[in-house]
Amino acid sequence: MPLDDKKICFIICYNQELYLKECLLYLQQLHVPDGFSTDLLTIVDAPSMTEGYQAAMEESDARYKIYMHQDVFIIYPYFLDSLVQIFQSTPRIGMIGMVGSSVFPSDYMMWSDKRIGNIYHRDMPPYDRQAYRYDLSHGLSTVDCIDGLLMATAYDLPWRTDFLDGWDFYDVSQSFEFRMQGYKIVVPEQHHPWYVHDDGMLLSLWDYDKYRRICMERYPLSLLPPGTH
Amino acid sequence: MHKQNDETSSLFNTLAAIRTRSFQQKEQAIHLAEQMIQHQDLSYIPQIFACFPIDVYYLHELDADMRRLSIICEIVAAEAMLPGAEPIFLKNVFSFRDLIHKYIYITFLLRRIDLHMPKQALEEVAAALGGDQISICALRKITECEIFANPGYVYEQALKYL
Repeated sequence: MPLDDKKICFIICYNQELYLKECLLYLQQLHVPDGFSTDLLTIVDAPSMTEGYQAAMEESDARYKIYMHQDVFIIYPYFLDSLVQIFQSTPRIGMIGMVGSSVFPSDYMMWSDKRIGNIYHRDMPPYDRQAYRYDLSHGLSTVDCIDGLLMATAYDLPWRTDFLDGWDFYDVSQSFEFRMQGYKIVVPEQHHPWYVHDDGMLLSLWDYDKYRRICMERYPLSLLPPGTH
Repeated sequence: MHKQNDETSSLFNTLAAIRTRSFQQKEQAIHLAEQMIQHQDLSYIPQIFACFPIDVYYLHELDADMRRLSIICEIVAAEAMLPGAEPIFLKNVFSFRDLIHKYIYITFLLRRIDLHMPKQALEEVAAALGGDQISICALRKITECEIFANPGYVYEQALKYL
């Protein structure tokens, strides 16, 4: 399917209307870049994250796709302008995240080492949300991997539905898939947070180890392209 | 393949060992919460908390909904100390799912205040907080426990709507 270079599609797998409604409230506040249109695809009760995202990817003709969690609320008004600006600045940038690992930890746990990004947190210094605007001069960090809370892409690469049938490690896998195709993955410097992640402050780890082991076998670090730096 | 370090193995081995028991304890906590709701009976709270310890872990350290349930129990217990001693948080709540949704919904409303959302979004906040379903105890506890850039401001503004 030919992609529409002036279209942005939000793709959200959800299982709770309450979260989706709030998520959309924030999306409605975003400024849309001149000449662009936006679209929204929601997938309820997908069998797995990869299957939900793959189905939506195949359905959308948008050049830019934003795969995000239902519990992510984008609070930066010029979010879309900044994403387009970054993608258009360097065609080799395949994917943008809000949080990422500069160097993917050898234990394959993204959160076990330092991560890049800016998190909405308690007692932040006040700032004017409408006045803040990202510029390329603020900087971009090239990373090995981004967190699945939000993954914006400029190219359609298949999600690995063949071995990821749950809710973990789809983000690690997709990051590696992009790198293996020669694309760069970046996290923009966020002087102020771009999103709120309302995940209940806890990471579910029950199935984490199963998918971690699968990815360790599928993506041996030694066989991956030597970083993206 | 890279060899797992001892710390990683230890974490996942511990989780695997307590998995079945923690799911059972969560089920039990949910059952007791449903009983509390159905009978409007706060004497279930100590029994709910008794479900939480699992070896060196606590359910509220492992599960987001259990974390919320533990905070809700504190809210309901605090509401019982207010004049009238009415468990306001349990109003119009008919299941565990409703209970958690109410908590999340209040958090969303308070976040709209924190983020100075447009008037239309705040009108819903005013209507919800202006009803009789949300107590000062809930506002205080949720602003304490959830993440807000300016919790003091959120609490003060929310009180104006009550």
